[in-house]
Amino acid sequence: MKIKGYIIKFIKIVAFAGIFVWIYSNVSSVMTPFSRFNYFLAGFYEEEEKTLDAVYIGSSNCHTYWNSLFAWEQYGINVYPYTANSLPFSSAEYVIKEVRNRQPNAVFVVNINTLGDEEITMSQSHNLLDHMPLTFEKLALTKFLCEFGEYPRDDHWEYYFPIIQYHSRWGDITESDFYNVTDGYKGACNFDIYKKKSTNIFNGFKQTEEVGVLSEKMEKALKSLLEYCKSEDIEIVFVTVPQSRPDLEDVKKYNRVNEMVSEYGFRVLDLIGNIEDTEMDLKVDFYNSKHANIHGSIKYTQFLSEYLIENFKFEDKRGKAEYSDWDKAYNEYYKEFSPYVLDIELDSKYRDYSLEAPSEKDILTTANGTSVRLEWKSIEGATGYVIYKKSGKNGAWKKTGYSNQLIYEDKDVKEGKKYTYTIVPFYEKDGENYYGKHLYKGVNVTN
Amino acid sequence: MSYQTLEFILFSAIVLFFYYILGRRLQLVVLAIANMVFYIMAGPKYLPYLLATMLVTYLVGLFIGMIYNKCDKQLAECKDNSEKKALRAKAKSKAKKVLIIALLVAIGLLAVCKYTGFVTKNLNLLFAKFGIPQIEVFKMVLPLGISFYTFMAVSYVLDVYWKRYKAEKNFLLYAVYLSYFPHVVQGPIDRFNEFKEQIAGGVKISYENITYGAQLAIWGFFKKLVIADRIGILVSTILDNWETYDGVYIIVAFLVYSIQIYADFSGCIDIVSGISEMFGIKLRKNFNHPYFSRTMAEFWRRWHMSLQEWFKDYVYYPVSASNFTKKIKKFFKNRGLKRIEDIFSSCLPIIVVWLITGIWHGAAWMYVAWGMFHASLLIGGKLFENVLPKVSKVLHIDTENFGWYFWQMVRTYLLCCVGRVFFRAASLTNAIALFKKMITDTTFASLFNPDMTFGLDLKDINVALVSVLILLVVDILQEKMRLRETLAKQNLIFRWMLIFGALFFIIIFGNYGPGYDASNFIYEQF
Repeated sequence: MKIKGYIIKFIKIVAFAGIFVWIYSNVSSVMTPFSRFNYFLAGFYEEEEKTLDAVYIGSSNCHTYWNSLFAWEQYGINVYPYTANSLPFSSAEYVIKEVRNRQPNAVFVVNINTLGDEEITMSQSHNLLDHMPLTFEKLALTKFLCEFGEYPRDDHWEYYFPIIQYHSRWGDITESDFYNVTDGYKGACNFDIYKKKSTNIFNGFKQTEEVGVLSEKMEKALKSLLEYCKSEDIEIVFVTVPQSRPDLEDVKKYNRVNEMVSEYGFRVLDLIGNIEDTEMDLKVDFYNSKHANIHGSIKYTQFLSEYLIENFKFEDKRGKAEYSDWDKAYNEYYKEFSPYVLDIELDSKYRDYSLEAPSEKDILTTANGTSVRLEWKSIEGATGYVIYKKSGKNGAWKKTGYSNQLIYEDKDVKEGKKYTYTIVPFYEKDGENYYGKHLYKGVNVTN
Repeated sequence: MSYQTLEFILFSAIVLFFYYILGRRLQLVVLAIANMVFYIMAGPKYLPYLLATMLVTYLVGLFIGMIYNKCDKQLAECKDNSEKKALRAKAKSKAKKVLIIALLVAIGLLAVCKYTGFVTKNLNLLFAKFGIPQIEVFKMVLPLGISFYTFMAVSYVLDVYWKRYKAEKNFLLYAVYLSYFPHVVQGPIDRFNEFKEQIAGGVKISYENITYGAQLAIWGFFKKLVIADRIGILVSTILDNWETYDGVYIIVAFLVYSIQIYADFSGCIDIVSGISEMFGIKLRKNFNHPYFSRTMAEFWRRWHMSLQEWFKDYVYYPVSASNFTKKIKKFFKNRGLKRIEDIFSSCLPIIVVWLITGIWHGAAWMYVAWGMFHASLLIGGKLFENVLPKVSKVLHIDTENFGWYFWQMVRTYLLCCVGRVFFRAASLTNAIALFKKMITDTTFASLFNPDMTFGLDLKDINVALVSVLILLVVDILQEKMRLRETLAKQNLIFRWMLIFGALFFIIIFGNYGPGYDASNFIYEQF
């Protein structure tokens, strides 16, 4: 009778604890803010285990450069960006351990641009941890971040229990907080600014071969990461993407990281020192000083995809039934980006970015109500020009014709309507057309 | 480690685990270690003060016990009554001398730590008038919980001296009593014999203790985190910038402050009592729904009860029974001044008790004023005790209905609020300025200004109102029944719904974490 009583009490305690944990996790999930910046990390956990070719770890300067769906559509590789805003490189070892829980065979690409070598701010830690499911690796990562960030002891709790930080949002909770769903774009960026804006960062871009000094704790963290990768035989590439910056101090530190990585025999892709390899244009391929725009990311994705395919055994998975969700995601995503991208931009095979685009001032437009006439200055090396057109607020670019002269007349127009045109120069070589640059925003004409 | 933190909950859980898992024999050791860890985490510099009081009062207790034992042996052998009397007097006198040492050390440490600054500051004011050179104002550390553990230590040596119980030989047990982490910071001011009874033989784990204790602690967290810290924002917003507000808002602030301090202090006591109950140790009751009191005297029997009872046992009765009081009473009696003798015998202990109560709360004149305010209310109550019923009778006031009770409760509450102006003010001058502002600069129309929300938004105000209503309903129910026992008889689903509801209400609506400015318990400072 006594034993029966103990068993009943034990069951009650277990049931009580279980219900508490269940309610707590749901309440915590509702209270923790979920925005488009969380899609990249949260979306990773929507992927089937052991299905990814590679995982790309980094901060926002990773998901605005690497476009996972372009890479899928063009090369049939699925490389997921496991990213969070300002994800510090110093925490990479623990992040890799967490990712390997679900994708143990994946190749790792790690962006080092957001070093976090001196400090990791509390918001950096929240960005990374808030939507990560509870695992032992997460606990280890949390401990690392709290210690590296030297947070006051009392503040550690909010990383283990985010509700401590976010319960004060109770007054702002809306229906959407109950559904933390991603856009389903497999980590492909869909920010408006990424699609629409172009900023010239030419003057802020700096290169140097000088090697800087990392903080003691950063050196320790990096050494530990490299030792771990070595002991686990992890295939990994360390990347530095081109950005604009006020001085060279960070670049020198990246060089130090690259130096240490090379000493361990791991691959380094220094795309600050070798920006020309990516064919990214500092004048137009970025939406701000630290982030590539959609055009820059297409070039970057093409470059990195080819590098990965060349160096690792990736198989083209397009057309396989078990990966049909990637095709579906791309088809949906296409509707989002197509208004801003030309179909030939996605053609990675035959591009020659040395072929400049006709500039805005060199394109003369005239309209007479029944047709629109475009005239432009000759581009050196071009043998012909493809003309694209779009109309309406979010109309997609459509190929409207081509010309091997410096003039084009479009008769498929309506009176009083506004059109945007862009001209892509090309030349023919070995039976194939090689396409050059174009004016992203195009020129506007009202007929 | 403040009582309302997650850290404290985890600390308690760990201690609780070892307390029961290591068996009854080691329970005292577990608690002793836990107490030391808890106290050292607050600041190792405080520890010597606690240890000094602990050691001296323990040794003195032991010594007094030895004196009495020796005397008892001698009495057993002695047959002559006058000799017996002499032996008793001798032992008493010897014990008294040792007792004084203990009192000097314990109260001396409290006085030095708490009042050196206050005394030197006031002496300097006096010296300045007579041109005497100023003395340096010492800034002493105020050891955590010194006001509380000193009183517990004093009660122990006095009880031993008065032979209420025997001196404790087991130092570990006495050390655990004095430094017991649930009551060392803010009380309740427990008594050694009650504490010992519960723990000396070891405590067996009990499902009831655990669940009842947890429920009480949850209720305490609700009062502290949801109510006190929320409405505290309103109070601080107004009173920290009182010059800029209309007097009516200051009145509102003090009406709310009385709820805040109740939710804060009783919340804390419920947390620690709940945690302690889980260890199988029931702490003294400290609150008995004080705002349902009909008179101030009743209020003080229901508010901070362990302190009031301490004063009653160790100050009020001894003062009433002292030779000095007897002589004065005799003086009036011999002259046929019976009424004055009565007034004197009622008033003197009250004045003494409330003077000390005021000073106990803090080294500042405003606390003295607060004490005297309450002393005058209590004396007034005593003096008019017989007159008021007659007045009511003459005026045909029916005092046996709810309306009259309600009025009495409101009156008591309002008088409390008046007293709290002294209590909450930054200084006595500030208290006087606040009164002045409330009397001379009050426009009731200002109450209808919708923009005045004092650091709370409308949603917060709604949560505060609902929570205070819950507090009121629960307090009413507690007056009528033993709530936890009644709940225990209810269906499991209903019970769990209630507990989960309360837990998540606190988790969601509690004022804790970086989104809020965490505030300490009000009574922690005393």
